[in-house]
Amino acid sequence: MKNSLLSIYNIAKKDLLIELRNKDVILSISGFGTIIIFIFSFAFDVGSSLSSSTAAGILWSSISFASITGINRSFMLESENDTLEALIMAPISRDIIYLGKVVGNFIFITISEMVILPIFAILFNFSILSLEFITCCLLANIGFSVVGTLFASLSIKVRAREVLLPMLFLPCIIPILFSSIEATSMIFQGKGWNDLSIWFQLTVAFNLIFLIFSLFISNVIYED
Amino acid sequence: MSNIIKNKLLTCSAIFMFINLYLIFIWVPTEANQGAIQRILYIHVPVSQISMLAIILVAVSSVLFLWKRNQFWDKIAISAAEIGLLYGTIMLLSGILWAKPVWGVWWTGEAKLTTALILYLIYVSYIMFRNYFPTGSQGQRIAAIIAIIGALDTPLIYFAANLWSEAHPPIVLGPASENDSSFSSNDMRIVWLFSTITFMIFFVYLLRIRYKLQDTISKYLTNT
Repeated sequence: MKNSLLSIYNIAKKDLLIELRNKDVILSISGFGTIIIFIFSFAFDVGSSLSSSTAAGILWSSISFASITGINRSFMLESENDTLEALIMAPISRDIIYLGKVVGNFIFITISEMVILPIFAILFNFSILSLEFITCCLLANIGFSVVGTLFASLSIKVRAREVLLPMLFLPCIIPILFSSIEATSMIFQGKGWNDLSIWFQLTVAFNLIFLIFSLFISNVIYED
Repeated sequence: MSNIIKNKLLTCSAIFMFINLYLIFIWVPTEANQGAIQRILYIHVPVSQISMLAIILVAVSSVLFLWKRNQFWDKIAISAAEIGLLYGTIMLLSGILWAKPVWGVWWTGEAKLTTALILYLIYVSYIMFRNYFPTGSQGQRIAAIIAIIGALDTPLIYFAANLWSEAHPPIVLGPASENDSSFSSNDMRIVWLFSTITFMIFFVYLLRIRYKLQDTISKYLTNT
């Protein structure tokens, strides 16, 4: 158990170290996410006040588009340098590799949101500093990284992966998008935990189902 | 022998289709509430049911392929996915044509509609993925995983879409907005059942042809 946790930590640490040196993934997620928020703010006229559900929709569409770009980028580095082969050859089980990558991608998405969210709050005039909203973001980030890592690992050798990856990822995360948009919209309207719980439960169930499924088939995903 | 079965299936589906058209457009009484447009039900409902059945077939054969590693199941999966997608396209188009006169809108956020559309998109990406992946066992394995993910995601999408449509009730205005049932006599049920059998036979016929084609392709690829 201790060894597995250490291996997960080491894989995530490796990804973070590479990121610290070239800043590829975080820059692409936060940059792309911010640009989409800007475009929406121009399209919807910044000065006027938007309804909470429209604003939540804009926020989560931007984050989901940006996340998949970043996750794709993080796997592109592995495929360019053939380092995934090296990871597969390492004497650790395949689910550990998957979990390490999930942890790395989760951290990248969360750090990028720290850039995207304040810009969103400034442009659309909504308060984002609440425990409910932070929970909503963290749960959604887990889902994005679990499903994103799964699909990015599957499509590492495919042609035109920049197109195919979002095409697979976006329809599959619809349950998380629905629940995050609805929960965020309720938080912006000032509703409490009781109203939000059903949406959080849905996200937790989604995350667990996909995490268990991915761990279960990790041997097939990373087969030689 | 196989040619005789193929011809019998073709003849059978042609005869059934003619009888089916007679039943739909001449024999069955016009529905009082919706009028002539309700006749689209006898095409829309059987085609939707069979396309959902095709998706179950893709998922089951993908599980069997991963388990047994028998090429037969992979060929069934790709054949069922393509024919299922053809039926799915007819389902979406006929549904849109039916919705406008009876609901007053082309499309609405109802749970079943959202689930069907998202599933359709997942299977479009499944087929794209198969075409973009280099041929070989790795591609087949990964395609099987994607098909299983699609099936795994379906209940979650339906649950989320259901919650979503409760929060945002879909706007339906036309003659069918109050009364959901489109069957008001036994004759209508008979025609629906006959139509389901007809489209099922046609599905089996198409599946057979597509399977043969896939068989020829894989033989050609192993020889070259």
